[in-house]
Amino acid sequence: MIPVLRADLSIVAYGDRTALRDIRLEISPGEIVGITGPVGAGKTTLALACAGLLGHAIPARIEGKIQHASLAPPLAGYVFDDPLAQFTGLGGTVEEEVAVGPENLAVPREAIRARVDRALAAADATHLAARPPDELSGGERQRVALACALALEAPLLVLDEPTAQLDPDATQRFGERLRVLAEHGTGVVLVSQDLDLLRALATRVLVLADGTARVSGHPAAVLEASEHADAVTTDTARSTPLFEARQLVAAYADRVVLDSLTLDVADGSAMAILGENGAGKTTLARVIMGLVPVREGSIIVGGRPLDGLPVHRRARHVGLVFQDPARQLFARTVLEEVAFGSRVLGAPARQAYDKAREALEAVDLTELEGVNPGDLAPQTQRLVAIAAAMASEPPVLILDEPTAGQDDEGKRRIAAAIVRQRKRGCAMVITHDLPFARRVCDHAVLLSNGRAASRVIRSAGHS
Amino acid sequence: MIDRLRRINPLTALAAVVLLITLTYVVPAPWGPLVALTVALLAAAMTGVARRVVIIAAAVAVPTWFFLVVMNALVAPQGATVNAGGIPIATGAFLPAAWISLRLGAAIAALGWVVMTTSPQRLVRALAQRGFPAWSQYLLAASLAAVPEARRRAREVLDAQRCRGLAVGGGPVARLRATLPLAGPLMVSLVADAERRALALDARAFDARGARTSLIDVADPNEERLLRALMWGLSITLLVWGLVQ
Amino acid sequence: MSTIALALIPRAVALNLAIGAIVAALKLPVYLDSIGTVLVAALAGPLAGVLTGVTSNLVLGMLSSPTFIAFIPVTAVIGATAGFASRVGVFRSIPRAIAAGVVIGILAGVTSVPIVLALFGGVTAGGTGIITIILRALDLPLASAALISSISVDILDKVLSCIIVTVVLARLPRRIGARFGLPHPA
Repeated sequence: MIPVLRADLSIVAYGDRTALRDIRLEISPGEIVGITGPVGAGKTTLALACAGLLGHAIPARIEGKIQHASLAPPLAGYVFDDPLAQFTGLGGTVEEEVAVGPENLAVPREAIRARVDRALAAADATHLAARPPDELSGGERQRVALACALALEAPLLVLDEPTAQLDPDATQRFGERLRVLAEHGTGVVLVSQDLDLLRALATRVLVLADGTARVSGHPAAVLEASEHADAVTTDTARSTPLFEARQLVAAYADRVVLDSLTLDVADGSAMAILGENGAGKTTLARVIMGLVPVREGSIIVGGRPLDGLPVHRRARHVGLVFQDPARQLFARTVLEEVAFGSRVLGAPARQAYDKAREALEAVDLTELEGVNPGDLAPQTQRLVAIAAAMASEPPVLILDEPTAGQDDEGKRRIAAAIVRQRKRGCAMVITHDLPFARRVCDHAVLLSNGRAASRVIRSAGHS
Repeated sequence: MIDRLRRINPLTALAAVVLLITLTYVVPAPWGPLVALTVALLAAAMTGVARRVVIIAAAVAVPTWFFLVVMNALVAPQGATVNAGGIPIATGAFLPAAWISLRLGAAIAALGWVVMTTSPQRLVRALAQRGFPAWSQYLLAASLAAVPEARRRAREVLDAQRCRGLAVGGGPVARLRATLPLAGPLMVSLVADAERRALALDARAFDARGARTSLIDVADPNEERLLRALMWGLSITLLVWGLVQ
Repeated sequence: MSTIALALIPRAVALNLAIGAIVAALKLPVYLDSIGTVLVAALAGPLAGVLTGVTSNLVLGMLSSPTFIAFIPVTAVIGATAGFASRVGVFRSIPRAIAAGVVIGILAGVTSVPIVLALFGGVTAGGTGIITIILRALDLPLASAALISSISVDILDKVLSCIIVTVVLARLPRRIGARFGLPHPA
């Protein structure tokens, strides 16, 4: 069988920085090759190289050869992690957006129609055809992004962390689609941090480290069982509640999002907040910060009600780390970024920088303090944002999906940050990542329809 | 007729707007602007947007008339004045102010009609069919698509920075200083986004100079082409006539 | 034009429209609605700047009020001026950026006056128009009154825009800056 891709790369470099060395990769039709490895190992560079996009969209120096089964564009379909950023905006509806690729290839109109229909069906997105791309959910968008890539009808499909922003349910369905595509003969390169996904799908896995293949082979042989990490829970919990939410009611327009929610988090404790998308987890965090007004109820930190305090005043009591840290990074250096909160809360420069250094130490980022935060990988940016929230030493720290896209090392650093927070106050961790929740939290609450439907203790286990 | 107007090729609508605006500014008031306004409102009524067209036209025309009258009749009166309770009012200022406002109203009504009845995607596709380059299609379509996302992002930056303790109120100096931590992350994140969007374009075989085809055909019947040529011809004739006058 | 410059322009157009949310939250007496145009001009040159300015007002004309379409020449001049200014390195220091803001503000004001005179009779309904009327009350000729009011409003706006763009360029991640040929900051 003719391989859909044959890559023999001795060096790939950006400027003077070498990103990949001595990579050999051959992919046959119908094969799913998984690529994994820690942050900064060169996974995205390899994905771009496989898709034939290096040297075009991204300037890079390539020594070696990349051969695709197709000689003319499109060499490969490409899907990346950010569901929205992959849309060109040239189409007002999903169907038109999917058509953009074939239109660019100057495919005749009737043929475009057929391609779009096939691509939408293969991505399980036919029912979305007439919707505006902007109004879709994350999982729906990623399926449409897949359809956009498929409409190019290239023999190779390259996906870079396609499920990083999807919940477990959407991830599983996305995986099923990939399996069917491969069964129909498409060669697939799947870059992912999600080892379960790779185990379930990949016929072969390549583990990258420092820009070179550390090991490659069958997933079962290559991927050691992870997530056997011990619980880092220390018994810091005291019985006094530090955070209390009393019968919170909150609504967007007519839709009730929190329905008389009551919740206590003890001093020294970490509470996992679980629940499906739309259960009200992020809204709860926004209500606590005062970004969404409460209709009824009260929020109390350390015995003091926060009700009526403006958002910026609540920052002394509660720190919130958003899902997307890129919305707040702007300082020249990581150290200044982490010190920003204490500075605007009025701490003198010296003290703010001392606290910032302490917080950076807690997430093991001391050596990056002089780097521009914008130059870091998104996963590292999130660690910076966590340090920034901890530096102003709020008694309550809320983390919204902190482990999304993180590798084991990143998760370890976040766990360490939570342990530190528990010594000074309490933490709430909004997450889909149950193993992580088990590891760092001593309590968990399952939100459903805006209520804390059940309350489970870690040791009792939960599904 | 109404049905036909609803499905009009965006380029025909554009040609009509150019003709109406030329009419407004070349043929002396009140007839030029009055005819243009009537045609624009009629078209708007037939396509169900009359109310909104009247509102946006009046929103500019009425305040402009008021400001002109205040300036030219009251504050700096020119020519003959009448005395109203000790205040001289230039009576000659009212009519010219009305004509300026009428022209503005007519031009905005014409533009408003085309904007409200033409989907930008349809306009882009119609332009594409006339051989406009891919980059120009991209600029218009992607800009319109980027606006809601940028607005959402601006709110997210505001939320994120307030949650870190940044106050958005206070004295003028404090508010000026808060501009940077708010505008900065928004701007940096949008520039960084451009890199991903460029990748998305490349990944979809976009070539700014290349020819594209189109999934959806914007109908352009022969009668409309003829009508369009006539309207462009008439606009040019009017312009030349206006310049000669 | 490179694909990344082309992809940047729609983000900048959207920035021109979205910055209003921040300006409103801070209750600042400016619009900053050309900040994206200045940013693109500084990163990708005069042509990209002009395209950003023109597209911004086309989009505003579609989404907000058709009046913006009449002022397309003004935003084009802003984009061109900022683009040429960036070629002589004005966005490398704050004092130079202030000077550039003054020049851009004056040219924007000068460009808008003929439009305001021809289409609006010299006065637009709003803050600028009120200044014009006050100047007319002081017996200034209409053209001068319109010019002074327009320039005074534009200068403050463009100076602040240029300062912010200068700071943003200095803090742009190196990797992104390099894509637009910015020198690596020390």
